[in-house]
Amino acid sequence: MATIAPPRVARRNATRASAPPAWLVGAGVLVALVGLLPIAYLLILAVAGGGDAIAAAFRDRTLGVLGRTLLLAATVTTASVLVGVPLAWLTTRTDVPARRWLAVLTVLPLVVPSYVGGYAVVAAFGPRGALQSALEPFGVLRLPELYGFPGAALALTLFSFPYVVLSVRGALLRTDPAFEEVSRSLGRGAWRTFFTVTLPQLRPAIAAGALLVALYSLADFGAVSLLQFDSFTRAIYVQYRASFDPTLAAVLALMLVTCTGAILFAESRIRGRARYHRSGSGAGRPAPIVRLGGWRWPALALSFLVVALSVILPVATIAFWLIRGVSAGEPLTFVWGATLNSVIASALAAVLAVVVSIPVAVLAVRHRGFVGILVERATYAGFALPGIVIGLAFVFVAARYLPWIYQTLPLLLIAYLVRFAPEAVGITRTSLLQVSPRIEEAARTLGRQPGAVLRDVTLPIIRPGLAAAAALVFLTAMKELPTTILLAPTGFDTLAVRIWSATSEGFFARAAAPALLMIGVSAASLALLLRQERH
Amino acid sequence: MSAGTVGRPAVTMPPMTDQADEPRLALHTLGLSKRFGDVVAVDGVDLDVRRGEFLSVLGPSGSGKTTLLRLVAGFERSDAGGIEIDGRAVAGPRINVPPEKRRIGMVFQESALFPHLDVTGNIAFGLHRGGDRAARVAEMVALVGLAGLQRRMPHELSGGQQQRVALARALAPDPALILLDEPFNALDATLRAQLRGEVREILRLADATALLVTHDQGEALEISDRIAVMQSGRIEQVSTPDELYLRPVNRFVAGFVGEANLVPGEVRHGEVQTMVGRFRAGADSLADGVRAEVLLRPEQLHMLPVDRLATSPRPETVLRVVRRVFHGSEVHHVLRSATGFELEAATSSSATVEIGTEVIVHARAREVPIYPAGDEEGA
Repeated sequence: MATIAPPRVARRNATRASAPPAWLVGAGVLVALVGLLPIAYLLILAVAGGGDAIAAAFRDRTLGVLGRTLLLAATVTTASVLVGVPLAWLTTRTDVPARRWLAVLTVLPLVVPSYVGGYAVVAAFGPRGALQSALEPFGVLRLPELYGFPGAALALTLFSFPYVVLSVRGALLRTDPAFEEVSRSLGRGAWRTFFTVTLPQLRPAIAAGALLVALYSLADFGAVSLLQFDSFTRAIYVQYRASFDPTLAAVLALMLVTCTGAILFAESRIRGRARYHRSGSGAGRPAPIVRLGGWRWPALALSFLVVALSVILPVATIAFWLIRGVSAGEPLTFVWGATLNSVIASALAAVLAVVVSIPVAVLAVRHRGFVGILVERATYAGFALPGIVIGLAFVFVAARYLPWIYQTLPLLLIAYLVRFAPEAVGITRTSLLQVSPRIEEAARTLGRQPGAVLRDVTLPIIRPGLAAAAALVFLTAMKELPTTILLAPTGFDTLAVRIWSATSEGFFARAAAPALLMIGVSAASLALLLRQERH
Repeated sequence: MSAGTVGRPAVTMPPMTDQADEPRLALHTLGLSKRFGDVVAVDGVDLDVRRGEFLSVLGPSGSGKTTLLRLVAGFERSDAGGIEIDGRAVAGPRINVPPEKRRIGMVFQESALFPHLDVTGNIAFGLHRGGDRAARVAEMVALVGLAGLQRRMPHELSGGQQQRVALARALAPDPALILLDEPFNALDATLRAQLRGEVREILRLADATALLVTHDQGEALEISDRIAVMQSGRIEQVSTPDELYLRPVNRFVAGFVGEANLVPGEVRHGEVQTMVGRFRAGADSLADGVRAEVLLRPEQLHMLPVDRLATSPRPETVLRVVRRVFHGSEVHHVLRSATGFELEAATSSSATVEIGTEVIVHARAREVPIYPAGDEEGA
C-alpha cells in the first residue's frame, strides 16, 4: 500500500480559490465523510467501550501483539536496508556483471502480492512443501520450523526490500558526482569517500525507502496470516472471528492505525527534506563507474542469491505446484468463477473510484479553499488505513446499522472505494493540474456554465488520466485480500481469497493457477504505476 | 438591451445607463474596487470604452490591470462599484452576472485553445447548434486567414496561428466586448509585432470593441485608439496615444510612456527657469519661487558643443557626453553635469556627438508639461 503518496500542492497552477458550486461541495463532502467513516466508527467504538477499552489496550496480550508487530517491522526494515542499499549501489555505480539485468530483477519482487509471496514461501519451505518433498528420498521428514516470526520476516523482506532499492537508486542517479570528485581531489580514497560523502547524501533516500518497508510490514495481512504470526492484522482478524467483541478489535485497529499514521507522517516529512539533498539542477552527468576487480564475482553471487529467493523461488514454486496439480488431475476450470468475481468487483470499484475522484480533485485543484483542502485530506485518510481496518470498520457499521447491506456487493464496493479512491484522486489531480485554468475560463466566456465546462472541456481533456486511474484501481482491487475476506458476499469467491484459503489449508496445487494469474495482474499494475509517475 | 431588462434594477448604483441621444458604451465601470487581503488590486476605477473602440490598459506588473480585466470578465467579484457591458448592468452590489452570460469574448496570454478540439471545433464552441453555425465558422476562419487549417489540432499550429484561432473563437459569438489579456506575450519579438498589426486589422474588420491589457508601452501606443495608464490599482490617465506621450498628467505616466527627462527648475514671472532654458508655466500658473520639473523628451533636446560657441557658457549649464546608445535611426546620448545630474538627448544616427564632448543643451519646445517638485504623484 501507499505506493502513491499524497502529492504535494503545486501552487503555481492553481487559481485563487473561488467559491465552488454547491453540487461540487456536496459531492466532495459526501466522499470525504465516507472516507472518514471507518476511523470515526472505530473511535466511537473505543470511546463507547470506555474503561474496557483502556483496559484492553494495556492487557498483556495486546501489548504482546504491539511488541511482536514492532519487532517484525523493525526486523524486516533492517534486513531490507541491508539487502537493498548494496544492491542499489552495485546496480548503479559499479561494473558488476549483468548490471542491467540485475537492475530490473531487483525491483521485480514488488509484483508479488504478499499472500502470493507467503504462499510461495510456505509451499517451498513449509512442511510437505517443495523442498521437503525433494529431500524426502534422503530421509528428511521435517524442516526447521517456518511458521511464526522467521517465516513472516523472511516473506516480508523478500517482497518489500525493492522499496529501498528504488528509493536509493533514484538518489544515487540524481546526486551530482561533483561532490565525490571534490572529495577525491582533496585526498580521500574511494572507500572513505563512499562512507563520508556518498552515504550521508543517501540517508534521506534510505529513510524514505525504509519507512515504506515498515509501512508495508505493519499493514500486511496476507503473509503474516499465512505464516501464522500474530501481528496486529492477524490478531484483529482472529479476534473478530473468535468473539465478535468489537471493543478489543477496535482498540487493536486504532493502535495499528496510530503506527501507520506515524510512519506516513514521518515519510512525508523526510520526502520533503530529501528534496534539498538533491544537488543543483544536475547537468545529467553520469557518475564514474567503480571497478570492482576481483570483487565482481562475489558481488554477482550475492545479488543472484537475492534474486533467486525473491523472483525465481516464487515463480518456480508456483510452476512446480501447477505442474504437479495438473498431472494429479487438479481441475483448472473452477478458477474461472473466482476470476469473474474478481473482475466484476474490481471493474465496478474502478469506475466508482474514478467518478468519485473527479469532484475531490476539482475541489482540491480549482477551489483550493478550506473545504477543498479538507475534502482532499479526508480522502487521503484511506492511505493510512490498512485493508483489515477498513474491512473491520465496515463489518461493524453494517452489522449494527445497515444489516440489509451486510455481506452484499455494494458494501464491498464502498470499502474498496475508501481503500482505493486515494489512488484515483492522485492521478486525476495530477491530470487536472496540467489543464490551464485559462482553458476553462475561455469556455465560460463562450457561454458554458461550470457544469457544462467540466463535461465538455475538462473531462475530455483529462480522459487519458481518468483511464489510467481506472486501470490502476482495477488492478489493485484485484489483488486486495483482507477487505475482501471480511466483506465479500457469502459464496463470492475471488482469486485473492482463493489463493489465501487454499494455502491456509495446505492445498498448494489448488492455489498455483490463481497465484500465477495474480502475479500477472500485479505486474501490469506496477508497470502502469511506474509509467504514471514518470509523467 | 437596456438595464431595465435585467432581472433586478441597479438601484444602489448611480444612474449609468446612457441617454438615447448619446453613443452607447460597450463598457462602463464606476468606482470599481477589488482587494485581496491587504492588497488593494483595483481601487475605484471609472473606465468607459466606446463601441468600436480599441482601448488599452497599460501598466507595470502588479498595477491591477489583469484584475480589472478579470472583474470585467466576471472571474473575480468586485468589492465595490459596478460594471455595465453594452448598457446592461453585469456587476454591482446586488448583481453578479456569471461570465457565460456577459457577452464577452476573451483571448488569453497562453492561447488556451481546447486541446481536444480542432480549429473548427474551437471556433464553433461558443455558437449555438443550427444552420448558420458552419457558415459563421467559415466566415471567422476566412477573417483570421486560416483557410485550409480547419482540421488541424491546436498542437499542430504555430504560436501566431494559435492566437488567431483564439481570436476567431472569441469573435464568433459576436460579443459586445473582446478582452485581450496580454495576448502577444508568449510570442517572440518579430512575430509579436506582425501579429498585433493583424489583430488590430481583424478587429477593425469585425467592427469589434476591444479592451487590451498590456505592460508593453510600444504595443499600446501602436494599436490603441485610447490608452488608460494604470498604477497601484488606479487609472492615472485615459487619452489618445499622442496626447499621452506629449501631455502626460504626472511624472509616473511621463516616465512609463516613452523616455523622459525631468529637468528641475524654479518658477519666476510665470516661467520655469531650468538649465536648458525657460518654459511657460501654462494656464494653472505656479506661484513665484516654487520648485518644479519640466518634462522633455530626448528628441526635444538639442546639443551644442561648447567649443563651437561664440561666448563661454555659464558653468552650471555645461554637460559632458558620457555614454551613447545606438537605436538604429536614432542615437541616444547620456549627458552628465558637474553635479552628477543626467539627461538623455537624441540625434539622428548621422549627427552624433563624441563621448567626452562638453555640450550645452537647449530645448526645441516652448510649451511642455510641468510638475510641481516634491510631489511624487505629480500634477
